[in-house]
Amino acid sequence: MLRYIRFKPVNWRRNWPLHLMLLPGLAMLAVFQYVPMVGIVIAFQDFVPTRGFFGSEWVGLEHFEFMLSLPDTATIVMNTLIIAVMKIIMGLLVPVVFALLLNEIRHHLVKRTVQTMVYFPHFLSWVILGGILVDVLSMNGGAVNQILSWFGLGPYFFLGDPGLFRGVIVVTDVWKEFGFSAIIYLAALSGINPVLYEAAVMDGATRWRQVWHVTLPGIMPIVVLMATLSIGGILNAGFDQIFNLYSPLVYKTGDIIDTWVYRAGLLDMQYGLATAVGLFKSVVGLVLISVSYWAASRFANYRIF
Amino acid sequence: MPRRQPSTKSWLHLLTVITLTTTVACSTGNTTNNNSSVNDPAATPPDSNNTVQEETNLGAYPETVTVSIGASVGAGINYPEGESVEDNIHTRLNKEMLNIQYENKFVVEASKMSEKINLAIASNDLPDVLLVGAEQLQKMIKNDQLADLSSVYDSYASDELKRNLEYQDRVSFAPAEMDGKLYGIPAPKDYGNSIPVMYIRQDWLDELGLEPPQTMDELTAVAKAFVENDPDQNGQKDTYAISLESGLNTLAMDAIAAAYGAYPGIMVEDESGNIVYGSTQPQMKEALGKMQELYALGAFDPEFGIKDYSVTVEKIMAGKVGILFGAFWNPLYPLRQNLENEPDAQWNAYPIPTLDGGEPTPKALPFTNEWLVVSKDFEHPEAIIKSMNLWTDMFISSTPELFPEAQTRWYEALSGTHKGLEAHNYARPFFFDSPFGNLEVGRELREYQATNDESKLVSAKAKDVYNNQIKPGGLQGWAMEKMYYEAEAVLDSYESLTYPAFVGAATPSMLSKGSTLGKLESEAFVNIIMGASLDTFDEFVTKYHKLGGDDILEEIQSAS
Repeated sequence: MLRYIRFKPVNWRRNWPLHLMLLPGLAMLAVFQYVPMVGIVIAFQDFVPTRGFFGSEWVGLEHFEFMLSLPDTATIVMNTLIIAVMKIIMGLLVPVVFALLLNEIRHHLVKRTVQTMVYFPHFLSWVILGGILVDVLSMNGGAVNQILSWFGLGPYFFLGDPGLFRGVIVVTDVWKEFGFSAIIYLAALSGINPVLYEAAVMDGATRWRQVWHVTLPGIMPIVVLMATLSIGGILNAGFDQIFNLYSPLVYKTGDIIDTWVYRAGLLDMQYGLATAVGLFKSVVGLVLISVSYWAASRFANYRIF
Repeated sequence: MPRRQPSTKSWLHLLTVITLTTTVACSTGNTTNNNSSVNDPAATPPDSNNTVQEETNLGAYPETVTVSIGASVGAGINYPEGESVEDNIHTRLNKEMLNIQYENKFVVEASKMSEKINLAIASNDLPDVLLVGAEQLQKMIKNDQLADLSSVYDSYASDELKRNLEYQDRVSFAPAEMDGKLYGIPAPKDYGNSIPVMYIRQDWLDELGLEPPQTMDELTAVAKAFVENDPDQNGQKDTYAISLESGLNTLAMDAIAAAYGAYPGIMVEDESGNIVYGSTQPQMKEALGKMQELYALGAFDPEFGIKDYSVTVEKIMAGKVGILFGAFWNPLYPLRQNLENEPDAQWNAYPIPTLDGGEPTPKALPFTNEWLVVSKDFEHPEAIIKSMNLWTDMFISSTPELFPEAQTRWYEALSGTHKGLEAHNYARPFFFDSPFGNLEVGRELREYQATNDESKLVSAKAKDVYNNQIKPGGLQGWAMEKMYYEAEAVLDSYESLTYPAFVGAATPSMLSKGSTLGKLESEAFVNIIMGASLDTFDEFVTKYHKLGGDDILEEIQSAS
């Protein structure tokens, strides 16, 4: 279980090799994460590559004003938030439930097989899955609509109906990732002290009661940790996935900040505007992760620093 | 209005070139003319003016000049054994004939090229020569990244190169000119690429006792019959009448819109002579109303909104579609592949239908939408023109004057080592084509067909097409006949075409509002076709003007 650890003053003389080993990592972080942050200035410039970061004309908050004046902005922010929140909730719930269920299976071979099968889609890229899903979800001859038709349902235009698109995005994302996410919970489950179960049985707890009073509290810190970490990505609704599945038909509910930035920045070469939107996204992300970190330390006693 | 080319159009370009290789002639007759001019720097280029010839060396450099480019690989770009993107027939011929060594500063997949170029522009890390689109060109001019090419073009370009690039009163040069300077050399494609031709399954028509449609009402009737009366006789209702894919600027939408006098995606002149945006005109509303009606009766794939051109191609090949509004080269792809699957299929080409059966006036886009640009740091901008001269003589010219030997070797390669490899795709520095070459070849072939007089086949290309491709027959012969006898004849029969009324450089608002407006338009159009109320169109027009359309029109007004 995670617990708040009070650090002692660092003993430099004894620990210096450890700090030295930290150095390459820190250098990488600086080069690839902090140095590129200089590029943020593009958000406040009419950026011209030949003049560089410091020669381009400053335009102040013009890009931000333009961004807020665009009719798309409200839609894409809402789309991003809705899709990301649904993904976070489902992305926590499904793997936890799955891990609990799998944990109850005693037969090792079955357990392993199931785990490998659900774990597999994680390794497929959205480019490939995008092509597969267009066929699987097709209205004429797609497997899903055929199965639904046995029950007298459909056909549904999953990838073209703005009302269904977000659902499709969330379900396919959860389907792809839940097997992989469950690994963490399975690891946490195996870390629970068996003595606790024995004690619970002694006290007459049923299977259900054991799950409720021993298993769930045992993995709760990990669940909270995962939730906290995922909230930092609340504005990442999944560029790869949506980019490969969306179309003008579902812009209304499916166009997110990242796909918009891609179109404005890379396709239309509006570097300043695209950077401004990206920066806006990062600032909101920072606020959200700060709040969630505070909440996690307050309610789950979880701290990183 | 210059806009981002949708992926459909990139397909078109990729595939056009299929046409072009196959039309190349095998003219061994021209080899002996004047080899000396190639290798001897002092040799006089034909017809060039005396003051220029003193310092203008159209042949090989005395010392090797190295030129870096951004190269692409991917579908349609195939090398024979022993060749690669670094070292191939084109780099070798350039080295040998001109002493120019081409190097690749980067190599990317063809479909990612535009993005890679955007990155290269943004990071100011450019190769010596690039092939860029209109918006990239404007960006680079604004960034002051490009060399002025006006003087090297004037003194180095061969007459044949000029004749091809300057087709239709130098219209291709306008977007690359600014303040009396020339920042890009046009890389034209065939003028017919953007002009729709109606291909129709004749066997389906016969099966159902129908005539090829000439009016929109007849088109609707044929579409209905193709959907409901099982034209392929397999007992299943699994056919679509008209192929349509997602995106604006599809040839199917262009063809149907043209019947109503609507020209989506380009700037047009209204009755009072003002420049207006074609997609927002009332005619477009009527056209969309028609497409909605066709969609409702099942003429299109109900999921067309999420499918791209590759799906259209698949369905044509599988014999599920009866009408294709396509380009003149479509017999080579995908119609030919349909015949491989269904040997009994019959495709005929007709002019697009009109509202009342009169003369159609289809939309046509400029035949140049890419330009060769040279970094301003590059010391030998003339090397590019020299390579373009070489390519013109190899591929376009019927009487090559500077490099006859290169043409001979190129044709030999095409019928030998490079047969069927579409090797023109990796021409150095970049591929371009004559805008009118296929039109001329088609005319000669039809003349010959009508008169049976072999002297009508004047150009080497026409002779090659006839002797090496049509005569041997087979599917290739079938496709070439369809293309030159029928599709090119349809193109030739169009008496008027509607070109964009504005072909200048993209205005600032086009660049900054383009993506918002494009999104608005594609969303509105797809929804209307799929059954949304026609009032959606009026909402779209209001929004278009409010969100930047007015600014764009104002900028165009002040620019012209």
